[in-house]
Amino acid sequence: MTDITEKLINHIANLARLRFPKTDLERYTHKAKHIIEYVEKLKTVDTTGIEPTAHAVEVEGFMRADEIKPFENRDGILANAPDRDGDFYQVPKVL
Amino acid sequence: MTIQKLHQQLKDKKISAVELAQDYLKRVKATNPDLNTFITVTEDTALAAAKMADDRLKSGKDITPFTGIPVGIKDLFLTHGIRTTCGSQILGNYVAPYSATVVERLEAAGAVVVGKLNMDEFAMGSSNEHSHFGNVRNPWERDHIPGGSSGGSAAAVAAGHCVVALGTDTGGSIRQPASHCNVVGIKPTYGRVSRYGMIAFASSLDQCGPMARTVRDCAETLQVIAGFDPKDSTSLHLPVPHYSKTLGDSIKGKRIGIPKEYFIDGLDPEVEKRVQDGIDELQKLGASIVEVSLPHTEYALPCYYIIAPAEASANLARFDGVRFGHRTKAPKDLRDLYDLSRTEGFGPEVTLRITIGTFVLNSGYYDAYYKKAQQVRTLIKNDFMTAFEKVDTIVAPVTPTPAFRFGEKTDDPIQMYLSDIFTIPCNLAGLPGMSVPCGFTSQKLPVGMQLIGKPLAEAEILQIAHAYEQATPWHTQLPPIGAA
Repeated sequence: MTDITEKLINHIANLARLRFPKTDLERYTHKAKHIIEYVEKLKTVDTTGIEPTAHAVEVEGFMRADEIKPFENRDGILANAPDRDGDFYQVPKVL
Repeated sequence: MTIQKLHQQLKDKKISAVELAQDYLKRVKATNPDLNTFITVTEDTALAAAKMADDRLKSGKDITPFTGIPVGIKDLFLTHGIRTTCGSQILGNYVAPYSATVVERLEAAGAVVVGKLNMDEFAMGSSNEHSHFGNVRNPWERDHIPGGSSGGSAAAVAAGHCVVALGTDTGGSIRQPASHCNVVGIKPTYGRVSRYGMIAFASSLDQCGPMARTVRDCAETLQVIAGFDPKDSTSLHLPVPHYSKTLGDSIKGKRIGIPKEYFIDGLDPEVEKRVQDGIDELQKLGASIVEVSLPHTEYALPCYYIIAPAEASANLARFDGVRFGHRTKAPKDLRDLYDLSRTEGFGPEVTLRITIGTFVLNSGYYDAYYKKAQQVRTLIKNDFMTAFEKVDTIVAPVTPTPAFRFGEKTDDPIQMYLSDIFTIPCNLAGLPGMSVPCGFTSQKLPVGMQLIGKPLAEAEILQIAHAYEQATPWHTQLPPIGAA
């Protein structure tokens, strides 16, 4: 049984690019612990030799011609940018 | 009103498509402030589309059963030039630069989109209490939830805000709200309908499907949206049968399996009774009833709550405040921009699921949780395949209880997740499933009966559901709020 601590959830939040203030961290740790404890139930199932299922319906990877199909609404994509400089997305300075 | 009836009226010029759209929009204006089914009402574009439908009807060219029919779209499907929020603050101002394939197909058939329907944020929820845009009320009982996540879609169809709505179902999000609102909803086989332009929650489970007042309307809608789409590499390259052709055929001799694991403690006695009455009716119609066993049913919920959050945590990584969506004010560096935009933009349930998903995929835990869940998923799928050697279709309850009151389950996530205990296995196995109205509780809350089919057996479950529907009065009953 994994010990779900605030330290662990803080680490997970960091990986997920989320940031929890103290009260939220307590709440999310409590709820996550509850859920993880619940899903631990799967450990009682014998899955020796059972193949994992990633997709329920198997689809053969299908091939298509590698052709350029232009997307007509470039402006519509750029219009959603929270901040931009002409055709470039703008973010805080990285270097 | 059904598609068939409205189509006849439009063809006979008893009503124009513009008048029909105005009629639906009027009802939306009257009852949407109370029910909150829509996040965005698209009155102007709807009236323009209705005008075009009238031109088509006048010229007699390119007329389909959908020409001029008002439809609602769950706000998870991209709609070109129209705000698409997915029920989230993080996409509060997002205007889609293209449309989902299913929306394009409906519009090409002449359907009139009246608006974007409310939903649990990123489709994560069973009660519609997780929408950034507020709760949707159940038109049958306004203090009760409509179900989720396609709660806006179900309530809108029930209240007569649209004739048909598109929903999505990852763990029951079409069937559960359909059952709570006395409408029909079908989740097709995984891959039957294109997911292109659907905002992804859990990509191996998500599937789009129609919700409507009748089985026939669902069949007609599925006909339009189903089929291969080169833009979705998981869509199936297989011919689409004629779904309404077998509606009305006898179900005599059909073998119907009743899974004993679905009739458990915790199943509301009134729900059990209504579903049992439904099974008896199917028997009267000539079906043979066989008990079957799906022994791994109890592991479906924990299995789902590993797989779905894992896939969600990966899918939702794209919301980083750079290219679209909410961006925090005055971030001091790029890391600040990512962390704060996401933390501010996602609601609590989505944040919790991203956390769970990131945890189970984290190195060191991956085999113990994610891989284990994928193996259990194989066992769940195998259970169904074994049962389908004996029977044609499985019939079960949709939900363990009728619609509950707002706030009743918000504090305990497991209690909330248990609402989907009977719908989740079908998603894990990729099978088609539907909910058809099967009566009411003493409090006049709707109950649905679930039909689960073999892979790609949509026509068969529609046929059985139709036979049942036509033999019972439930689908003709309308809620006290909205209707027509």
